[in-house]
Amino acid sequence: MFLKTLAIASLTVRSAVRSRLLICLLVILFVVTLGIPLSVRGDGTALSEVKILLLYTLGTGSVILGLATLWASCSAVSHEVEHKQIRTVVVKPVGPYLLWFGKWIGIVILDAVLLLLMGLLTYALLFMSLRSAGSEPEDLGTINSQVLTARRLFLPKEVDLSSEVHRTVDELKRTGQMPEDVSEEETMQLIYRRLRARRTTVAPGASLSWEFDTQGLNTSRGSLFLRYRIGSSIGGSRQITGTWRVDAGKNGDSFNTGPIPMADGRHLIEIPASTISPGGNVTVRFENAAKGSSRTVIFHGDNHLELLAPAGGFLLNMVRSLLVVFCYLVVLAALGVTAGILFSFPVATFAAFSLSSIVLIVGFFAFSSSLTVCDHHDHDHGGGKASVMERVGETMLEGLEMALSPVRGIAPLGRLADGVYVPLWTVVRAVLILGVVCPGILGLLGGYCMSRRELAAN
Amino acid sequence: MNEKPDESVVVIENLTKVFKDFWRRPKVCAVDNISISIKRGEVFGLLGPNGSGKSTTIKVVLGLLHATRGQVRVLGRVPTDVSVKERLGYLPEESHLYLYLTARETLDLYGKLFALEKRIRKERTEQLLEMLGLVDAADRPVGEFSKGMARRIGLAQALINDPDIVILDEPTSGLDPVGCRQVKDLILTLAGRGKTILLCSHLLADVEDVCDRIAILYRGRIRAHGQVSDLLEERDSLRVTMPAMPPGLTQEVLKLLKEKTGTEPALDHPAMDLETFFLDVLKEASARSEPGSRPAGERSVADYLRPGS
Repeated sequence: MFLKTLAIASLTVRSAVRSRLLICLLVILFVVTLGIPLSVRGDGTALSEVKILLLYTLGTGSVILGLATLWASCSAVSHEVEHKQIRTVVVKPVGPYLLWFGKWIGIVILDAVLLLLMGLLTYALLFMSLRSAGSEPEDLGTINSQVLTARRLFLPKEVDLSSEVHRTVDELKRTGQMPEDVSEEETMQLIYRRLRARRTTVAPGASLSWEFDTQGLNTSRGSLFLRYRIGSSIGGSRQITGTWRVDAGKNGDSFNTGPIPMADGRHLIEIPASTISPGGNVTVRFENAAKGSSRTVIFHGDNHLELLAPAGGFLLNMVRSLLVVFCYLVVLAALGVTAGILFSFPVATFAAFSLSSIVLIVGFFAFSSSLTVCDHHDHDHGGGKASVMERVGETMLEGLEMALSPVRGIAPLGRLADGVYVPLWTVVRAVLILGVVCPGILGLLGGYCMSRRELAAN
Repeated sequence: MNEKPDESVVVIENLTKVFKDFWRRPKVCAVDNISISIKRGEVFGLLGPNGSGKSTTIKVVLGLLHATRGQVRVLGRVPTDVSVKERLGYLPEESHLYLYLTARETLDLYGKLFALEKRIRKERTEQLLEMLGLVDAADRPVGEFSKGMARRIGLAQALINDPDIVILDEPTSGLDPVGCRQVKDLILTLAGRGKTILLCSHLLADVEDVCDRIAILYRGRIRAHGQVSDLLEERDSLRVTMPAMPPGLTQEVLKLLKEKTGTEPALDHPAMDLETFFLDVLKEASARSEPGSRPAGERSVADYLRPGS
């Protein structure tokens, strides 16, 4: 069986090499890797150049590889069916599942080689550009501590608001202020959202605190960073003044920045490692020092506050990131080969690209929690009922969202460019779901369809 | 799967194949209720004009198409059974090869699909290349081959596993007379080793030369079926062949025959067929131009395909 699989896989590889697809892809990846850092301009700092190299170059290269994977895998079987070579293969003792597997492995081998070359080229370019640019030692220090590292990311503990929600609802009922045209469940949801919003705004003179569980944190690797994203209620580029205080560890150490000016946007504060003793809770407190004015500070986004702690080296993090990207390519290869069995080449390519696009779009909507189609109620008009089509669409989107939920949020290149650790569990999850389960399901479908299809009907 | 010598290795029972359109509506009935049984060691020919259902029948036997009605058993199993495919060799109507592979790589690929050991693959590849006169072109991509050369390499891939059943769809199509003769000799050699051959052709002379039994198809139905000798024999006439006689004696014999039978006997010289004449001319020319060389068309059969191997 191994020899047969190898024969089919090597046939796929040979086809790519001798049809010059491989050479063409290598040239494109080479041009992308060299061209993007030259054409995309950051904010002029060495740090942004490095981030661009990592995020844009690897990102664009991965997208090109993904498209090429879909195209090549769709043609792997459909092309042979159209040109009838498949007839001389399926009459040999090669089962339909083995044929699918061999074709898939062939594409996966090509992906592995191309991704490895792209990774090596990017890595080499990264260090060559750092050496030749003659960056200031201070810049190099920033790059080393913020990008060429792998920092573990800690998010604040989720605050349980349910008791406060119930208390507010009871109060509304007691005072007879419960809205009559909205159900109690929806009222509770509205109150919950309002309370959550309060957890992201700090009025002048007020303060807000977050608690982090730092279980597994290792302080021996260097300084920690607090990263936050803010804006003011007035907007524009006017500065805000605030004080950050970090209380950590059982020994009661604390770190205080004192009043610091800060503009709208993303900021980073270095916290000495000695401040934090691992294994306990860390409390972070922000005080809006803009007394006497109406400048409320707003923390933006879901991940508006993060604690970053060094957890490993850059190279291993890059390997883990590329491994996750490879898993995405693996599942695309499986999708393409199966589509190529089901349809002719143009239809297979269209179907595979469409499905991938739908998954990406639904993933984006689900990720940004914006599945507004699910909200049937037209509050302005007293609540209307959803049509059958809306319900079908909603059910399909919800089903797709549920199917995608295990792999949602596996975005390794963003983490790599941010110097954020790609956890081993993320890699294992990607390997299991994208590398084994999804291709397994697609392989079963592809093999079954291959066994049912009449390969000499045309 | 130990079959007896007279056992049927290919059984087609009431086979009907209807091609349908996109909406599953019947479009054309390519094969209409045919039944054939082919015994081990037999050379069976499927004859018929274009569109008569020959290739469709073969494709159903190979599992490339599914029967609409009826059933097909090859070596007692369904055609899609992998163990059946281990013992099958198939030459399609057109060779359908991977154009970017060389002849040697092509044979090695198909050898690997049969999980043949590297040593055996190498031996058989070299023997087949030698047998089919492709040694000089062994490392050229198949895409550069002429139709005849592609046909030969197609035939080689069908034989790489030393199959028990060889299915040949128009095997001599695109071949020169030397190649045709060689293919026919090969078929007879394989049959001599107990291999079963299912041959599909519309070249009647080819079929007549090698087949034990034939079925003639027309519009999807069998119109004639049986031993070639039985079907072609003219029982109401007789031919006597003997050395040439002096003209006077010939006339006397003819007169006597006319008197005794009351009919006018026909007299002519037996003529060799054009193929034999052509091959003789080539043989002679080859021997003259390169004394000691092996004439075209007389290449040896691959060792592993020879009787007794």
